[in-house]
Amino acid sequence: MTIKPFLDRRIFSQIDRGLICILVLILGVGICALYSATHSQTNLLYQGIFYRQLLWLAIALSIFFSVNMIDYKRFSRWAYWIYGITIVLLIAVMLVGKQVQGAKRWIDFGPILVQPSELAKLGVIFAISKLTSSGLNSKNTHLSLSTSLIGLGLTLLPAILVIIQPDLGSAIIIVLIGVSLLILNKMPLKILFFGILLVILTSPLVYNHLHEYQKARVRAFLNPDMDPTGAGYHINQSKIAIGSGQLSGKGFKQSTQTRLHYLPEHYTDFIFSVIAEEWGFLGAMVLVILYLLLIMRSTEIALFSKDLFGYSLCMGATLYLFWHVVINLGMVTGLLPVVGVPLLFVSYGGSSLVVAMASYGLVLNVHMRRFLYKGP
Amino acid sequence: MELFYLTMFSVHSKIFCNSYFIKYGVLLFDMVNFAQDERIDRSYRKRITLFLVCLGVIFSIIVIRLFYLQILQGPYYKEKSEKNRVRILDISPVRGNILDRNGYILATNNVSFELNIIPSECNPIRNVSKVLSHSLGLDADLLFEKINKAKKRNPFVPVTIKKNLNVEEVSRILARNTELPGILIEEKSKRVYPLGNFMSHVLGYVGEVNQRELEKLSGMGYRVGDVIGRMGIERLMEGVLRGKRGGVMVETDAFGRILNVVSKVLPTNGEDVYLSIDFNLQEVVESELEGIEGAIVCLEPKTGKVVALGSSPGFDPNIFVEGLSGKAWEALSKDPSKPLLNKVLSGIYPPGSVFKIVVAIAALEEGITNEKETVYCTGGYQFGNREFGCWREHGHGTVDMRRALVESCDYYFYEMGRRLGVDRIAHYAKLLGLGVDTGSGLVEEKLGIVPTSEWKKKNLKAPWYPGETLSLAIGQGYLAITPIQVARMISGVFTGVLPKISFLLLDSQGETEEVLHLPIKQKNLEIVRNALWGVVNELRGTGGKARLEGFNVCGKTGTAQTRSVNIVEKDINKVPYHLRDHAWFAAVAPKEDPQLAVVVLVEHGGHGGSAAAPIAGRIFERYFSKE
Repeated sequence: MTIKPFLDRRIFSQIDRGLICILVLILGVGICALYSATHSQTNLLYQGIFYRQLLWLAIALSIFFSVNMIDYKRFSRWAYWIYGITIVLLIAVMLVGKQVQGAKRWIDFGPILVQPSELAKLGVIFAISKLTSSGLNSKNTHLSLSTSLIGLGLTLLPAILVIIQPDLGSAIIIVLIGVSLLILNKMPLKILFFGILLVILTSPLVYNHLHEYQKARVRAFLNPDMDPTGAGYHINQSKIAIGSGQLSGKGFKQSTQTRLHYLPEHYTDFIFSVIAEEWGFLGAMVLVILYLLLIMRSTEIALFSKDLFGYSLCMGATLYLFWHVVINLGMVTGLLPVVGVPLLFVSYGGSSLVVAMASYGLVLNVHMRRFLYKGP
Repeated sequence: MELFYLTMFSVHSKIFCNSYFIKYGVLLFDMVNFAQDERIDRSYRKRITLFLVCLGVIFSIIVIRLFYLQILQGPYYKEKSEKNRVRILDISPVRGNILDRNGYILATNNVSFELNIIPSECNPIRNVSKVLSHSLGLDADLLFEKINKAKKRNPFVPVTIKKNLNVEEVSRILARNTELPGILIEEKSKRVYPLGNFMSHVLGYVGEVNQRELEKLSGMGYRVGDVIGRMGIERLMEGVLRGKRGGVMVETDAFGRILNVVSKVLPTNGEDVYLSIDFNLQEVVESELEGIEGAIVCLEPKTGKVVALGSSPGFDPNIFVEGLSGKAWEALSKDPSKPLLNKVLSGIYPPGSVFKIVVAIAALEEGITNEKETVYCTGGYQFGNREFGCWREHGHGTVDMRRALVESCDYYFYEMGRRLGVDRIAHYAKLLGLGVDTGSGLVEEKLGIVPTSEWKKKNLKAPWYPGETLSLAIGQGYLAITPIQVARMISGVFTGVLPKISFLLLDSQGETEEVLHLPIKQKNLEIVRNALWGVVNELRGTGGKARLEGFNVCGKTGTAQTRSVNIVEKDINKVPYHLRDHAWFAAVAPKEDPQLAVVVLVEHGGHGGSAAAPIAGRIFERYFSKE
């Protein structure tokens, strides 16, 4: 391997403008939606949200570009360390976390609140990428059973720590990312089926250990009209918001559902409802297609990366976005229970925006440095 | 699978390597074919294909779901969103009344009407504003603009057009109801003080909460537009008078029309507050204060309950209810006669000779004299190289304690003051409640100053001069106290117990509070009481004008200098008004079984015996004739 200078201008000539274009469009949609969702609210609580998110966006963009300064192969060396730090943060949140509505999900770093469960998602991606790219992984063979089990263990450890917080949504996302990333790294499907069987058998047991509000949400999902003002409220109001947008929507800042405060959490997890209400089916389709393009783009980058670590990192970022989008859209359209998963790049929230931008920064990184070796 | 292919956008691998978004978006490519590129490991190819299939299927489901919700079910949800408008309307509680001890209403509420309009229903705005301007005399263009602006902001939230409509205006509007779509006439309760200036200082006033109060009282449930007590009983009893807000949760349609009431919580109205004030006696006090500046307070000596309280000049609390303009407020607060000040509680004055009661008790308790010792008053007390004059230029001759109090001999008390020293005098003054909180609970109450040598060192950075003790002994110098403290002191002297001052008929809290027995020998108190009886009832007593046959009125006059240098001028009318002496009279009656304590302060009134004592006499007369 030839030693290349740390930063090569030629590398930056390879920057993927297409990916950046799609990202900027999604971020633009997000900022507009957030402005609409929080503007002219009489409630003082909303007033700083838009500007705080702009600040977060600036931070996220700088991280997005600075991640590209470092050759991603260096991250390969640091992968387990990054994973370890996220685990430490998850343990720290249990000890010194800030309690909000009965859940400890945040660490207070003075001016900012950090959500370690978001970082844990990135940690899992790093750890599994490192694991699957360093092991014996020759052509046309599956991942060995022991490597697969270690990978699952690396996934389940943060997931369990997150579920204790309790944050069911993030735990589910972590498991989904970990398992799907292992599958894309040729984990035998037998293990997956066995795992699914195990989950189905133990699910009644898990249900009994859920928090009462989580149980209520599952029940509300199964029968949303049972109690329209109670647990089914979110789903019903969200469906009304989306449905009432019809083909072309009510127009920018014209969302009645949010303005009259019917839709709770409309600037975080339910921001898509605001977009669908204001821009209608056409607007919602534009956003969905943008997400689809982004996912496909990063899949292509993964396929043409120069090594397995790069492939795995890109697929990790792709799956990270994929599962968030799927679960969030499923949730707001009433296809899935309400579990509290943000819509990446669009929902209000600093931690998720920064982590999402960092992971797509890595995708860009892999793309720029793809020429030395052929990928998988 | 067709749908899946349709949603797949991609480009050929070659173009992909240096792609631009434009090319990317325009060219359609079968992504699955792309994944079959033989350069890629076959088993990865399989898994990626699996992922792409999942991606296509799941996104198709989402798109179909959105299509179902927004296009197929769209009209249904649209209708639902229009019906889906729950609003909460507040119901304000009615503020409690304030009544005197016999149930006479001193502060209550009136109904006032407020005209609101819902902009979305107000069609056409031009016509409505024309009709309204005609019947209310408002400017039509301004009205049009106001409604139009509100409509842009939020068409469903009512805007206030005019507050405090009278019945005539309301009926004029209701008569043209059909031409005025979207109008709402709301009843609001408004604080009124039916007696205007009458005992305004005790009642205080209310006003709309301001931003500072909202911040300070956050969590107490105050909202913009609420009224809050700002002074006197209105402030003291705010928590009781205010009540608790209620509300109705209503479902409205897109136009703000109420479809049905979801739930209703009735407000809890404020409780009435009964004062210990006796309206009849208060009337006497108010009439006595007419035309003079000063303060009068009447107490029940045994309980400390205020029966009447007057401070002159007064103000009309009704002007605060509507909110006061900055100019009007400035005029009121800068008025040199201080109409907003409750002079009984917050006015601090030198007590003059009234303070001799304290010095006499201190002298007896400390054993530096006895009731038999005599002092020869020459009219001028030589101290160092200064002469301190007695008010009676030619002197009182031989006086013992009793005569000294009866005739208010300064010479005698200079001598006692010299013997006692400042700190012992201050100790007894505080013991008798001077310069000490009276327990009334009103925030505007002031403590005043009872000077000690330490106090002077700390605040004026100077040592205490012995000559200043002599001034203190006759209630002058740095000494400054409030009339209510004097009333409390004299009650204490006659009952032996220092009462806690209260304005309320029933003390809800602190009923078990320990009584403050004065640590003073009964014998010594009796000596002072007898002397004070003499002040009113004996020959040459200074308070003779307060005498009331059959009721042993006891009291002490005071003439407090407002200047440091004594102006020798017999004709009071020749002295500039602001330099004239304050006239004091503090009295209790009857001596054996104290029923009423009265303190009269006439600002710049001259001699206590001539300006204040007659007022006290008339108050006693009215009080006892009633019984």
